[in-house]
Amino acid sequence: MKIKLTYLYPDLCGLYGDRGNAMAIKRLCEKLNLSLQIDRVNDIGDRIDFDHTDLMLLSPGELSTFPNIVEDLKANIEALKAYIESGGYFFAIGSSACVFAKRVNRINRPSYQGLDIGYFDCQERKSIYGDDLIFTCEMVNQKREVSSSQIQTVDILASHQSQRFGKIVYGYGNHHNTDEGIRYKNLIITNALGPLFVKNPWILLDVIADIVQKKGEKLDTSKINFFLEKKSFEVSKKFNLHKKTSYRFSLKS
Amino acid sequence: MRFILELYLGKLFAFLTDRIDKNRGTSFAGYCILKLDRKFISKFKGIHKDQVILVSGTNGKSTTTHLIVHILKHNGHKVISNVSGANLASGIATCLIKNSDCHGRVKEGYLVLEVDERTLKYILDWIPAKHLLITNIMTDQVARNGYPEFIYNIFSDIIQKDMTLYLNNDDPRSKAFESLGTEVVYYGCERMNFNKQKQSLFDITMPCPKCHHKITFEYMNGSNIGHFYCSNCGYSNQKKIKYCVKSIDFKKGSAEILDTKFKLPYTASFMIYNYAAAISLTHHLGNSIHTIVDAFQNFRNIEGRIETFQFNQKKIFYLRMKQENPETLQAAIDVVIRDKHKKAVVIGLCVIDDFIPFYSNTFYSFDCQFDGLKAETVEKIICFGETICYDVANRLIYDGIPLNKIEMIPSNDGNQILTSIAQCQSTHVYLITWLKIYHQILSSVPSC
Repeated sequence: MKIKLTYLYPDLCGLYGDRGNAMAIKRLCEKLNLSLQIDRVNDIGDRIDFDHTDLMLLSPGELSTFPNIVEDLKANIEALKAYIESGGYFFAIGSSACVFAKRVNRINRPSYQGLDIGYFDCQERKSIYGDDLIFTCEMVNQKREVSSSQIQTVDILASHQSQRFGKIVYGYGNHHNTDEGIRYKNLIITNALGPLFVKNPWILLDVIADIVQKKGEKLDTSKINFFLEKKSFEVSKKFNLHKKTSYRFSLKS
Repeated sequence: MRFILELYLGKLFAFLTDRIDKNRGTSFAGYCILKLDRKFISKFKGIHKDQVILVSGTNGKSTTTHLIVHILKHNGHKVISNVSGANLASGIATCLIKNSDCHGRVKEGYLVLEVDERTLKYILDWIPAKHLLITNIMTDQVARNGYPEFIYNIFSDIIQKDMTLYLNNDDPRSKAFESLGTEVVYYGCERMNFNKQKQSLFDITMPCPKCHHKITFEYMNGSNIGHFYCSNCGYSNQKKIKYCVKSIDFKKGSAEILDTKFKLPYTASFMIYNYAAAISLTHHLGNSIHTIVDAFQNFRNIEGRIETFQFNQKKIFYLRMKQENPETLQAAIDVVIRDKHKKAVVIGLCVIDDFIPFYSNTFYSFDCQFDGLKAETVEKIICFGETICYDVANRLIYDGIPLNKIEMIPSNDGNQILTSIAQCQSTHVYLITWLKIYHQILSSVPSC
């Protein structure tokens, strides 16, 4: 069984060690005896194959980088929309939410339009906000807990049409409320850094299992052991829910 | 009149803190007076623009400032500086309080200031400065500085047209300020023999600061430092620069600049860039290359960069890294890898506790490469840290280090860490953590 990852613009959007997500996909596929093909889209203008991909990954980047990426994806907009509408998995991490926003409002720099998928806007923050982020979300009909960190350079301003990806247990999330990220079908826009799949491989396992199932096969997960990740999750949750150094909008549940 | 009162009060605070707690003596007086008057720094007299040198950037500020001060003094110049690393407005105010007379007139000579990236905009509003040296613009303290472009934009907005800029020719972001100053002095290094060529599927470079397309490196002397070009807009290094460190020989501890050999006491690549930066500035100010190089003979760097101590018949090498700073972590790992002795490695990344909220970020470790630690000469790797030791261990496993070579200590307790070190067979032990934790561990060593 072969799975194909399209790793979008890693040189342009490579902040916060997020390449670890691509490494996690490779590692888990190896553990599951799945063959993984990684297509790296290195620069603006490089060909993107939406037809034969199972998973797309776009990592956080600098805010001035996104207008070029938006224009590049606009050139492929029909294929991208078809991929998302058909339930293809697309993870947009951290500030790369800007690519899918209707509008990105910047401070002292030109604002720009995004692809407008997912019904939300982005607002650049005056100051950066960093903290841990713990939330629950639903992955392939299973409720999952996620432990991560967050470096908020833009706030996600959801609309009444948008659907959140997760519900905050601890942290800031989209905009100082209980919402974490945006979900539109299997386009998942999340603030979760960590990297997400490294710290929470159970999320990735759900995604891969779903991809494999859609191809008519079933995964053998019996040998999968997330011992270190579970220990990490435990101590991180304990630390965050009991720390005396949390910000005032800590939303302990 | 108000300024004079504030100055006297500041001098009193400085006098008292120097006697009560030397560690706080570098910034406490300035901190208090700035609470009374935010523009206090702008009211000092006798500061000559041509003699003001500001050193800013992500990494290497302290060492570069220290080198500049040392060279200038060695060449007979009078120098005032905040070399103690107090690089925020409070530290700079304290430096001026201590080095001015009772009328607020600053002593004669060069004023060499290490300035935090975020503080630079205020300092440029308050102090006229002719010379600005930028070491590099990289990822650092992301909960405060976000991403490199965030700092790049701050610098772009505040660099004054009549400034002389000293720019790192091998750092794409630093070099991109070249269009903003009247005069630009470039410094850099030729290809180092251990330089990195990024080739793996997961290796990444960076976006071009001018057109935001991909920057390609022909080689790297450090993380995103080296010979670069952008194939979209053509942006690249200056082909030939005056201040280029050549013939770098780490084994012999020597290098050359302007056809003159000099002593190189460090094996970390970023240290050589600090030397190149300091040489370019002091030579440009009119000092001869021979007296500059001569100054290095008795240069002793500020505490805590690379230190050693003895414990249980083992030599412990402390390699300083800064919180959330992948470049300093990678530089430390590279030093370990270059040592061919049998060794143990102790890594403590710990909770980020600069300001509230404290948090458990370890994602910056994925900006580094640890695979060199797979070497047989590495006996064991100890990961410590109450909340994050499992994440660090996992990071090592991602780079192929077997779990049975890793010990996890979910604590920052110095005694517990030293007990594990004592059990290692290797006589060389590398300790990589931040300065505060190093001091904590050091205080648990019986002989220290």
